Amino acid sequence: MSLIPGLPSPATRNRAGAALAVGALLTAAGLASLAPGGAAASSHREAPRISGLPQYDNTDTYAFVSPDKPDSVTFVANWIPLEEPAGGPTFYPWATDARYDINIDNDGDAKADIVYRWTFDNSYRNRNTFLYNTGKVTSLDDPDLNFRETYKLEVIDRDKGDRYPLTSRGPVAPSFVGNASMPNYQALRDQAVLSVGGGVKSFAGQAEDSFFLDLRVFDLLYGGDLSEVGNDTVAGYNVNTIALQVPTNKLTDGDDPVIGVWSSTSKQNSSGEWVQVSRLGMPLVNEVVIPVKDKDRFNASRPKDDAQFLKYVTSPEVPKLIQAIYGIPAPAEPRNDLVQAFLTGVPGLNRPKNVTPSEQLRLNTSIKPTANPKRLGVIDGDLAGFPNGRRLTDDTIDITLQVAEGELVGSPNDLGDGVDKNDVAFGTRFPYVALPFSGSAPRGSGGSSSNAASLLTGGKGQDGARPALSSSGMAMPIGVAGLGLLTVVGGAVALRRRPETTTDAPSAA
Amino acid sequence: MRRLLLAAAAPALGAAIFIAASVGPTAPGARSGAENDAAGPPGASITALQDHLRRQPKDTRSWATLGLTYVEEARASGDTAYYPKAQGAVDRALSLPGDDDLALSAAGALAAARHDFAAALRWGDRATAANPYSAHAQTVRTDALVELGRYDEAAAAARRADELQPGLPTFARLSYLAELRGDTKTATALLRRSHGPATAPADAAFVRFHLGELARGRGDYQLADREYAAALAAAPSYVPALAGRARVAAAMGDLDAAAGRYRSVVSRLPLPEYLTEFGELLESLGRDAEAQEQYDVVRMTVELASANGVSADLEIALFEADHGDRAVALRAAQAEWKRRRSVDVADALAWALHVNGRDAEALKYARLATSLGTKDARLRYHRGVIEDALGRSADSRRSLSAALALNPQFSPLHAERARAVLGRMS
Amino acid sequence: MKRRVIVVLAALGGLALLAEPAAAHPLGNFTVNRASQLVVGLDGLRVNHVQDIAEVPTAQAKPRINGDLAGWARQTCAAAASAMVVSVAGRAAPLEVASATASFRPGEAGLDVTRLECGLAASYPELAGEASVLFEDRAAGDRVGWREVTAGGDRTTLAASDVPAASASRGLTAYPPDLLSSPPDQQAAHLRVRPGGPAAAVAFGADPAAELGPLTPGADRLTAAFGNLVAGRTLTLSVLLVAVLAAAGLGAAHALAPGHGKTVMAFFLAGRSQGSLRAAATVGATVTAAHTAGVLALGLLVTAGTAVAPAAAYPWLTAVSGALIVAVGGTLVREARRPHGHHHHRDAEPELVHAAHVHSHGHSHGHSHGHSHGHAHYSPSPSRRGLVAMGLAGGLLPSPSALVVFLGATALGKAWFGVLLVVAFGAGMALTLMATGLAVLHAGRRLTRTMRGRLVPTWAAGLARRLPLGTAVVVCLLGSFIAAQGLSAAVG
Repeated sequence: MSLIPGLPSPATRNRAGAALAVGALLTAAGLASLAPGGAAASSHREAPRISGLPQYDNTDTYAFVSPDKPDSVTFVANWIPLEEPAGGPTFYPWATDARYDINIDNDGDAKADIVYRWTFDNSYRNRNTFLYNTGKVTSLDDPDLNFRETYKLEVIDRDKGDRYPLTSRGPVAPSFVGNASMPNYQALRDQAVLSVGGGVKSFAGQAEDSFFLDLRVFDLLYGGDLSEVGNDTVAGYNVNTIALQVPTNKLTDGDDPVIGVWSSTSKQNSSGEWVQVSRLGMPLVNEVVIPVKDKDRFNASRPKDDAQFLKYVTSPEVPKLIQAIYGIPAPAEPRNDLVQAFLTGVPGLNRPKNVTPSEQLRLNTSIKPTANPKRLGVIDGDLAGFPNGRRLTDDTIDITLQVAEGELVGSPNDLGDGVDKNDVAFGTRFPYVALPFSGSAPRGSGGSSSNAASLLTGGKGQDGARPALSSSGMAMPIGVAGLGLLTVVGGAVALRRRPETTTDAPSAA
Repeated sequence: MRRLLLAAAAPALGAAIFIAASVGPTAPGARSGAENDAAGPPGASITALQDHLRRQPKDTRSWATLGLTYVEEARASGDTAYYPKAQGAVDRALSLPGDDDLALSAAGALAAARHDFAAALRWGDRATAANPYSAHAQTVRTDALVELGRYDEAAAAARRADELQPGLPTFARLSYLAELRGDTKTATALLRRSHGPATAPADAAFVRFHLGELARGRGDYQLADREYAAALAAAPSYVPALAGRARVAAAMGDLDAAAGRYRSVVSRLPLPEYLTEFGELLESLGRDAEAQEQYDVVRMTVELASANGVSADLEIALFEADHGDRAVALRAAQAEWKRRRSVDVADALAWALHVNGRDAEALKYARLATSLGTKDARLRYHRGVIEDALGRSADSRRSLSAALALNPQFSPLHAERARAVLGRMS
Repeated sequence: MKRRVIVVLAALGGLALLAEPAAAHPLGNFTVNRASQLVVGLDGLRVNHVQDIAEVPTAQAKPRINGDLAGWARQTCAAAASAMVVSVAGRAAPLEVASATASFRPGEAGLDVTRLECGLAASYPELAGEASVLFEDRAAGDRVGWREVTAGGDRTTLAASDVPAASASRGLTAYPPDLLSSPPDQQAAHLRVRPGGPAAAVAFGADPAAELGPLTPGADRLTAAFGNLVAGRTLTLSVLLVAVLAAAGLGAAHALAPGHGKTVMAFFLAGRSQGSLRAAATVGATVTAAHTAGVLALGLLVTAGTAVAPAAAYPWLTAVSGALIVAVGGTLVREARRPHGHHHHRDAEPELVHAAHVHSHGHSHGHSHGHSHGHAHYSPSPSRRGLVAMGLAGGLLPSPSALVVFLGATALGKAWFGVLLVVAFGAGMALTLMATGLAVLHAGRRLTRTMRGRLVPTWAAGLARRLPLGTAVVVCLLGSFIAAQGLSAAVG
């Protein structure tokens, strides 16, 4: 911050005006008063306003053909973002009044045909203490694990009108309290992987946050233009993860290999009815496609009603912002390429035979997983990647930005956030997500997976050809204050100039 | 002419610049917190929001969230310093482009905190128009409609909020509406359901405290004390629970302990209702000079509130009717009745009319106050005394007995007066 | 017309001098804000504990105070000390009350707020090596409010500290109105100290800048920034130059805030006949000298450790300053009512009159100007006195910022540096005052020059004739207001 704002002084035009400004400043300074005091707390009932939403808030949904078992599909869904590893004392329990669902539409009619539903329960072994654990925890049955969570998993077959439980007391992998409390967390993780029969595997518990991005990219939405991206802003955090592996033949309908997927969360209201409070299929839809005023509506809506959001896809906001800030022309509307990517699937890739446009993550289960996945997925030639399903390693931010900016319609670009991969490597077997960070390890400052790059070049991962643009100044308040002083001093100094038109002698400056 | 205009513009600009510079946000701080960006839904921690807004001052949504969070902090901690900050944040949010429903809801919450419930409702309606799926807008509307006395509409708004984002905020409001209707069973059940092990301590304290109040309201002082103690276990500095413990100590006859607790309460959060209750306890103990000290502070508190733009007519009416200037009480109650017609304002107006000798009119309002069926001993006591003053002995006996049956020790001063009136009649 | 606007605005500006900043307790009416400044020495530590008590808690405390503020202060400080736990190198070091003062200040709605200042001290065996110091204020959570703990060393160095060194509120005198910060909630401090280091900048028990009050709220931030700039740096030539320039800039910026007689200066210079630059220079030099002397005197008193309460001196200084201004205004009035012989050389006014009488003086303009110079200007000594008086009036009130700057430099062990900075500060102030005065002056001149050659209505000419008297009267009025304010604060 400049020590004396505004003292280097450009002269003002109206010198007399400057003098008057002095008077005005005196006035204003004298009359500037402190803000009025606060309202007294009241005698009327004041109830809390902000409810804890993270437990019901989907952050990511993945669906991919299992690389080590290509006849099965793996689903991964995360909740509760930005969990600090040292998150005591209650850590991050699953909500017990919620339904966590993975919905599958296998006939393209925008309605869920199969639903896998997790509901959680928890208890304290020792009712006299609220400690998470009372000693070293070596197994999920260890009596030292005081706070125990379990889940019931059921599958609902809407077509047949069937529902049956797959497990009623599935073990939940606990929050990784610390190395002393849980010296062998891998063992705990392994115990939480459940085979429920029929080739179906289930997992619920804490994991390292599999998403990787520079959150500053979203500053675009506020008109900030970014000259620097490249820090994985969610590095070092954990999430709560649900994972499911199902044989493909249990999912697909007939000979259509394409399935649509989305996760949702529902809560019970006071009358006992279940209300959907969160929904997530394709990543970033709620952040980037749906505007702020409709986010709640989207979260409460179902795919079959997605025609109401069509305009946000055919006429998206992000390319217009990029055009406004960087001057790169937005691709011509209507954006049918985005309709395919988000609402119907791309023909020949992951479009169901008969499709009602709706926002879902669509996976073509017949495309085999590749041994060398590319982070840019389909636009880099890797057909097993996003937007054909979503793998843990797919760089969805870069892909989404590049597609939004017209990669598929003849405007190739290198937009990206400069973060190309996760800070931690993923596993090679179910549930594939990495172990959570330990509560005793200090959280690192966040890995960056590439050199600092600009938004325009971050998708390339190397020094881009386009020059970085300087970021807009943030020093508005200082500038304003400086301007005020400028006006005064500048006016005074300017007045010292010898006036041109006079001929009289008085001892002016 | 042009010069003159220019000359006039310059001082205006200068003044504006100076004022803006002195009350605007400070320079952006270090970037160290930037990576922990948690800009997002309400519930994000205050520090993360502040860090984010230093980097991105144009983020309307985060300003609105911060404003709402500051209002919550003010409510939860009792520290009124947060209200000007909340106002500043909300003003920022509203000044940025876009009609953000969260900012409008936050503005409504602030108006409600200032007791301007009509304005709060207008903000809530605007927020609903901007985002019909906003639960926050509905909670703001609920609160405003309840205080305005429009209970059916309030219930509709609360139900709508509950359909959008069910949770503790909606359960608590539905519980209050049930309590106002006299359905204490539903009220209790809803509160019990609303919290669990993962509830934030301040919210858990809120819930336990109101469970305690419900228990105390029906005379179960032991249970009430346990609930208040649980609230304090969750949040040891939660002053309403301390006041609750003071009330049950008085109700159970341990007046010295009650006085000590009240003293601790008023030294932390000297609200008019706590000061008045403490004063009344002291009065009932014959310590009139000390009681007067508390009453003097009530007047000051109310004056300060008014100076800060908070409408305090209801507090003035309630206090002055019993302990001060009757005429002032009546004026204040009438002024408040013009603004809103809730049961507590009806009760205050009834009592103010009564102490001014206008019992016939007072009865009308006392009946209104009890018309919902709220199980509140004080409402019935007021009505009973008014009926007695009108010579309606049967009605009076019924009202006063009902009051004492509900909550035999609802007030150290007034329960005795109720008993005295009853005693006189038989 | 424009002159009138200037006059009106300047008058408003003058009124602004009188406007007291809104005295609302900045953090709400229920709060008790507390700040504990730890100063860890080699064989003893001091805790400067301050409480800023809002209107309602003050009202609640008044029955207990019962008129004996000093006694209440002692009791409250003793209670505060007993609620604090200090341990040095693992051993408990109980705090004793060394000083306790309390004072009422006006708050909102005609109610008082209280400021309590406790000097607490604890002693322990001299530190041999690095030691840990723990401080906990157990009573901090009792009241809602700002809770601040800061720590610094006195001939020791803090190797580690979990609390800041400087008070964000400047000892509870200036709460930052930042929307993006929450009131701090520090109730404890954990430090590691090492023997050896600079002496603490401020004498025990007194933070003079805090004492003097927030006269210049804007400059406080700048002063803090300046302090950071200078503190702890080795004194190379470049640092010296930067610091001197910065001090001058600080003085200039400081003088922009209300309360330095800029308005009066403007009026005074506007009423001068000629030699405005020289006049302004004289005033400027006097301001610098007066201000420097005042700051140095105060600073020496403070560092000598005398129990002077600078805050008490201020109202009297204000009163004296006001009286001086009245005196100067009086001379102006006297001279304005002298019969006008050759009054060509009153700068702004004669132009107007000149314009009205242009036909009679036209061809001999240049000649008679030179001639009547000798006649119509003031005799040197009274005018010089007037200038000096104005300079004194403007520089009489030592600025807290300058004081802080001086003390900061002294703490570095270089008093000469401090003196240099204060002189630079005063020069900066003088520059601003001169610039302001000249600005108004030239504005007026420009106006009259543009008006020259046009016919002016007689009312304007009449007004212009009366203007010197008018400005003189306004100067008197302003002076008396200032004097009255000072007097009322001094005795009230």
